Amino acid sequence: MASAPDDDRGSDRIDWVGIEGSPEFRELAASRRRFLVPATVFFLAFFLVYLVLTAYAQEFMGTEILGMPLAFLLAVAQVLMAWVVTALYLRASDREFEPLERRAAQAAAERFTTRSPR
Amino acid sequence: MSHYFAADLQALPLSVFAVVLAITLAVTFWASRRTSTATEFWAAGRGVSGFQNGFAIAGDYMSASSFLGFAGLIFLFGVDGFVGLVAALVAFLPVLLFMAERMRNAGKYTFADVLAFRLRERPARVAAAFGTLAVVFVYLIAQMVGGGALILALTGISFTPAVILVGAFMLIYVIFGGMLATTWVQIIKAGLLMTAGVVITLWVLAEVGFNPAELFDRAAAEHPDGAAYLEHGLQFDSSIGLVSFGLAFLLGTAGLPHILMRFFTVPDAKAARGSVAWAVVLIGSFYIMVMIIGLGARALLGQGGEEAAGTAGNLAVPNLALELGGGEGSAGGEVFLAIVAAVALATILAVVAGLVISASGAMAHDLWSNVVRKGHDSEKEEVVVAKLAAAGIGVAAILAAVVAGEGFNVSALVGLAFVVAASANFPAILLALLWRRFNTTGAVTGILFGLVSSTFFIIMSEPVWPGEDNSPIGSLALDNPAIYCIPLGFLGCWLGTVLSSESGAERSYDELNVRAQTGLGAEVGGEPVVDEERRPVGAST
Repeated sequence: MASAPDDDRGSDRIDWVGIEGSPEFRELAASRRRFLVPATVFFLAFFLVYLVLTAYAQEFMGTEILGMPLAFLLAVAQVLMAWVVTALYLRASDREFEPLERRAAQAAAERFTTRSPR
Repeated sequence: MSHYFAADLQALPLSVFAVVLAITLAVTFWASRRTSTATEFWAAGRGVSGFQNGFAIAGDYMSASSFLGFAGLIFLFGVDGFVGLVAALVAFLPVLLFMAERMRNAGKYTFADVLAFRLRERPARVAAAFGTLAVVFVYLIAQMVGGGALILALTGISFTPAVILVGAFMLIYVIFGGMLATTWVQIIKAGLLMTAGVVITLWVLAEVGFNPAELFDRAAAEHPDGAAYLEHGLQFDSSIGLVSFGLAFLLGTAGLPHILMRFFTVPDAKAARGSVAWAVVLIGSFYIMVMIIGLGARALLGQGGEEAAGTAGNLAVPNLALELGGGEGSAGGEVFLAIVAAVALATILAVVAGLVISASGAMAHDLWSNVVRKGHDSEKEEVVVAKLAAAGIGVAAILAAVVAGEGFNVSALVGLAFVVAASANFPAILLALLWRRFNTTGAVTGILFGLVSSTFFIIMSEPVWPGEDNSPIGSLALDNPAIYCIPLGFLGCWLGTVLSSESGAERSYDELNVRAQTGLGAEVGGEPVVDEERRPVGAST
């Protein structure tokens, strides 16, 4: 699209490489990774166990508990799992990641943005 | 019951249809007065709230196949029908954890924007546009054929006019109302679908005295396979086929262009993740209801209902509604059936509109503005081209659906769409966001590997080769070949990256990573804070 060649904060130069290496951004990235890696391993394992059971333990999935087959209970458990992981991610985002994002943005504005004269 | 769905026009469903269509036209008129810039056309001015976007995602994602299709499969084959629903829901976790916020922070209108940040723009956009168009076009034809057949069965409008009707309304929403109209059609549809789901579910549960054990007992008793109805293995004849099918849904969703596009419509990353949360709540509860509805159809309609439900069981839910309302000929039954039919129509319209607008993004924003015109076109031109592209794709899809005809097996097409999304789009987007070394050659070869292998294995699949075991690759043939194609897509990305000697891309990974994780320089509230053409030194423009 033919818009102005630079952003609306004048022609500020932003040092993206500098921000990426800054302690503030590294802390944000590390904190996010500490959540994402275990969460991903958990949800993938939880789902794949279910998928493999549906494919290779087919009669076992018919086992009834309180009159309901495991196939149904485990399917519902997957939905509950998705809700729990989502809730945990939202909580971590609000409590941990967002303050770190603000700190990284502040560092970026203070140390890695060169203001050009307008 | 089957003669009820004969090809004579049904006045009641048609009048409820007309009401739904009138409401959506009013919404489109309202939206058309608020849609003129490119940001308004593709991203609804980035003014959709997280809650609204959650409904819209649910409306975009839950096609008629989620509601009628999966319930029909559960009616026919029991618990095997749960697997697709479960996979399609868990699929939102990768979307939440890796896609939603990063898309919102770093992109503008299409997921190609995110690739173009760090990769050489033109090849990356061309490859991503092909990935988008392949998924969208195939999925669009599947939806139109399925929708046409469904409207024929429910209202008596014959197939070709039904497809044209769907196509015409889809184009009216998109061309006049852009993303804002599309979003509200999706929100209305999600509301209707959830309401219908709750009513039918409660009604089914009331029939069994709110005792789930009785629902399962009665359903199994009504199935010729008895207890096996509550075990897996009735629908899928191979275990590996079932696993592959589950993987296609799990990873395909995160590569569906029309779903990823929804994240550009919200004001910020917080609203993006909030919208996934709402979508997960809505879709999860709806899918549990679909399970109960499918079982209820088996328990209440029984084996005798199979013929009326059609070969894929698509009409099991409408028949269930008729039965719950008092049966054929009763006023209650016919009213309830008409309402369910109208909900199904709204469902089809909302999904196809979302597909067309994402295809128009790939053609106008990626291919025309940024590849052909290299960013030198005016915003006005971009919007005009977007509308022309939408019209072209819409007309092509209508023609393709009419030629394919009502008897066309759409399940192979839906499978192809999800396999391409999972094996061509998903690996390239994920690695662009997470892998510093990833480069343009890697993205192009990955998307190519995914596209070619998906097409090859779908052509080799059994539904394409009529008769028993006629596929040229024999027992390797899978109806849904995701288990081959996803690793091949990642392999393509990796091979292309390590075998090429580009390193220029690495510099801009820093920029993409910072932008994606912090939202610095993200597009806000309709006016871009940082122009997307601003590139680090060394990247091509």
